[in-house]
Amino acid sequence: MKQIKQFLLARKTVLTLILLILAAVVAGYIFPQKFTATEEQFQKWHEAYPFWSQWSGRLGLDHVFTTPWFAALLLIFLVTLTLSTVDQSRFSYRRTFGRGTAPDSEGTRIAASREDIISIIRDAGYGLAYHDESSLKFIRHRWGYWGNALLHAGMAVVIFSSLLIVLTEKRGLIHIVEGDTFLPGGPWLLEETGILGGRFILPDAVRLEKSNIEFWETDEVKYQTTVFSFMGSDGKETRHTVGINLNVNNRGLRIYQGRSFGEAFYVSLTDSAGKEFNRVFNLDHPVKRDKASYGNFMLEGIPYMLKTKYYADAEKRTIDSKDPLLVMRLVQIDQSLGGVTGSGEGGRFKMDIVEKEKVLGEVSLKTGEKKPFGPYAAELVHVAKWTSLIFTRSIGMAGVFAGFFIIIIGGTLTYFMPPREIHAVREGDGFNLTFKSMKFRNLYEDEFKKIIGTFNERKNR
Amino acid sequence: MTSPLIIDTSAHWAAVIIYVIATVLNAYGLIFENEKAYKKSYYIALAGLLVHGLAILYRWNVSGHGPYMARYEVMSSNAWMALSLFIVFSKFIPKIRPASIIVFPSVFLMIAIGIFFNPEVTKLPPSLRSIWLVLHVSFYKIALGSLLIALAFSIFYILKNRTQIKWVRKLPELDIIDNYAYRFAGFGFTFWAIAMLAGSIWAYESWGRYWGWDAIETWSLITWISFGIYLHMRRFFGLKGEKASYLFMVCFILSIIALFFTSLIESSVHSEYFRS
Repeated sequence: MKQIKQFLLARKTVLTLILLILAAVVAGYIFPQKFTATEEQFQKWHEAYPFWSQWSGRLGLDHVFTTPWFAALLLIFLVTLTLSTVDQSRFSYRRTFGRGTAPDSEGTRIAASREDIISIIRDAGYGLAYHDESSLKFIRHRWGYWGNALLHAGMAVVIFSSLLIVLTEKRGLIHIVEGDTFLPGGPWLLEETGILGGRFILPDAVRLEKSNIEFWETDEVKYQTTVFSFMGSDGKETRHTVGINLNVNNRGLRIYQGRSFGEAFYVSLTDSAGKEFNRVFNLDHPVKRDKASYGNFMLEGIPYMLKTKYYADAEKRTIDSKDPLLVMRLVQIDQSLGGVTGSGEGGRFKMDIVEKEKVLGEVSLKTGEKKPFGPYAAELVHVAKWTSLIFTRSIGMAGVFAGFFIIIIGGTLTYFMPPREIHAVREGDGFNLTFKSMKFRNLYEDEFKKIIGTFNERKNR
Repeated sequence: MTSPLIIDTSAHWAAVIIYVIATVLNAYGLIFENEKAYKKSYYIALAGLLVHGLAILYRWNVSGHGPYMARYEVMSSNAWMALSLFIVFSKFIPKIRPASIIVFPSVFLMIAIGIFFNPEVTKLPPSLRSIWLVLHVSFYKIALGSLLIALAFSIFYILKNRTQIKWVRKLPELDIIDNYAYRFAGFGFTFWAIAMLAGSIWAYESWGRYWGWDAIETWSLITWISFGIYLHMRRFFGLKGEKASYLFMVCFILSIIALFFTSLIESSVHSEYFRS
């Protein structure tokens, strides 16, 4: 056990662990990560670097921060930090409250009374930390001894809390249209849960009441808020407003305003036989009043693709979607095999699929309008706003911030308040004064010389 | 270009000119041991700081937000913060004053480079309206200021150790220079940690994530760990002197990449706002 502890606390072990963590973080930067890169970026990278692509998959370099080896690395580092914190706390306690030993270096002999010694050294900012018949110990910034212990303790708390979050966090994203309800257990647009998190099911249904977006005159978003309600199974409703930097806490859930928003277009298509196809298209809000937002959709029962775009304002005068214009194109896509390239024996084959598009119809619609659209009649029945909401449930977040705070206190004590000691040991009718500094000794020697100067001045008076 | 922009950039150019004069006098005073010129350079730098500060405040007033959006204003305020921090530190620790020969030119170079980026005023996105963002950005600026002083001492160490340049010989003893480099690196490490904490609280308040592993966050962490390694090597492996100076320079380059370059080359929640 003792050997294991020694190994974990060995300077080389600690340095190796830090270097390994650094290497892992660098790898996480170099290799595209599943949770930050888009599918397209991911594919491109794999095609560009086939050699690294194999290793990326095998070693989990495409999701470094959720791999078991990274968790193990953090766990070992956590144990090391915890052991080191315990050791350093003991050392700090002894230094802060113990008698301590005067440095071996030769001191300066001062002919002064015990009271004068105490008074002058105290006036220089040193506190009397220990005293007995024959010796006095003064410390300036005595809490500075705790700097390293706190620095390490803070890191341990951050790592522990982060691991807790990674294991237990639940996070879900929805896009919801005004007036619509998201039921408990409904499908999330994106869901992330920790290994021990389980499925994320909301306790109550959520209904979107209103989405409010304010814009600058430059068409950039000025502010965004959303009013939504939790609807309990007992019929009780509670209304909340969430906004950017204005999140809501409700029964252990935190709800955030998502960044994406737009318009939901309720479109009805009727074929020549009178059959109706109703569909809602959620499109992102355009970034400028004269720029369109785009989306492609396949409709069940219709063998064509719908390519859509919309302008926030039919006249392109405003970014507010009070009178939006929806443009739809009905496209028939024919696919054919373009060719096969590549070699046999361990090589790769590449198949090119050629797509030919044929436009069957195009229509521009404002709310309430109905127009012919290829073999259909299209009607824009209604337009409503949609927005995104993020729901999270996690434990350990407070630990992360508390840990960071402890790191900062540790760093501040270590580098801003390095402790200095003056030991006064009785010698005949005077005292022998010695100076000690754990860090940056040569930066504080002047401080000690100044104190000695004060004694000399007083003696010469 | 509208008239507030002309006023803004003109005031910045005026500050650059004043800083250049201060730098020339400072270098002359230090190299040729002319105490009068050396002292004057500090007064001129203070005048530059005032003009520069007024330019930043003017832009703040015109844009309606602090200097943390356009690269131009970010670099300008970084320069202002670095010089202010240096002057405050040098008031309390007079031995660090020769570092002005590195700090002064760095300051006007930062502003001058900033001016070449688009100075157009951009609107503040809603997620950036948070006190945590102000703290996040401010502490990175303070960290950069501290690291710049540590860089000056690392360079001084190498110069003093390797050359016989007259003004360099006037610098404090080698072990004192070494300790200043160490200590200011420690300050930078601590301020960097505060900046990351404020950033993670801001991210948590805005998106419910305290860490997203986006490119800029990752680079910031890489830099912080690198400084951690530097400090660890100094504390536990007795690393000092020239080797420590070179290691610090590597860490400093990482910090510059993290602060100024990753947002230019990467797509992230940060660059979306800071690219201009």
